[in-house]
Amino acid sequence: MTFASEELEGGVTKVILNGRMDIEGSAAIDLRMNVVGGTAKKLLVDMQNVSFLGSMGLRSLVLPAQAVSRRGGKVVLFAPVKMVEDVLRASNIQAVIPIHHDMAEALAALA
Amino acid sequence: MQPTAMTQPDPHTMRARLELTSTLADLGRVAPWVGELAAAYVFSEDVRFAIELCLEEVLSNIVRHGYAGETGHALTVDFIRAEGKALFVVEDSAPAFEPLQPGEAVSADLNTMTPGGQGLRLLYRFANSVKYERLADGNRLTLGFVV
Repeated sequence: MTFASEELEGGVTKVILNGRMDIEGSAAIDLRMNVVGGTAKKLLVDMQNVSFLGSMGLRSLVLPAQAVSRRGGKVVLFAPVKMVEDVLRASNIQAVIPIHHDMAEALAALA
Repeated sequence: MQPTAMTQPDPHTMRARLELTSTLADLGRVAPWVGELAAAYVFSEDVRFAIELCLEEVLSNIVRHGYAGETGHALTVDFIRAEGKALFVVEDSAPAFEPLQPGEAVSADLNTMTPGGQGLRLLYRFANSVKYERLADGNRLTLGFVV
């Protein structure tokens, strides 16, 4: 599991996740996700290269999203593959962290 | 610590076994094992995903809660290829725990939602059948997947 981040125009922090968000993969990114969650105001999590998501991975998404939200910020999830999105929707995550498949829409949701 | 072992998929008996110990690190062996089964028995990517997800949720629950994080306990996963489906039988010697189906996920507010606790919900969403049996000295959970 790898983690990368970049700053986009408009104060958006884009996090790019790549790999399996299973027990091992989630543990590998938790620290960096929490750091981003503690600093970003507008957070876009690019999930198009996440091939697996379990409940530990959900936790790795929700905790930093809560940190951003508590400071008045916004978080969106971008382009999860079908089965990963099924996991997100089975947990009703999309009700509190919007999922977008179009980058322009994702950025607009953070504006 | 118990020795760990894995049997290769047997095309004649259509069975295989994975023996694990009660550490989260050992659970890293599950996905490659499921991958071997998926290749041998031609599971779709979606079925493979569902099997890996359900086994991770069930096994990590046993390690973290059933055995309360104690190492050195045994878990076994038996694979049985049946007509039109794949069965995975998970056995442990932890205190009795029947994983009942939870209600629908309700999250109206990100700030107040519980970050974890989705494991059983995912299990019942992604497995086609879930059967629990209390054993004399442990638990048996049989997960079924249509293949």
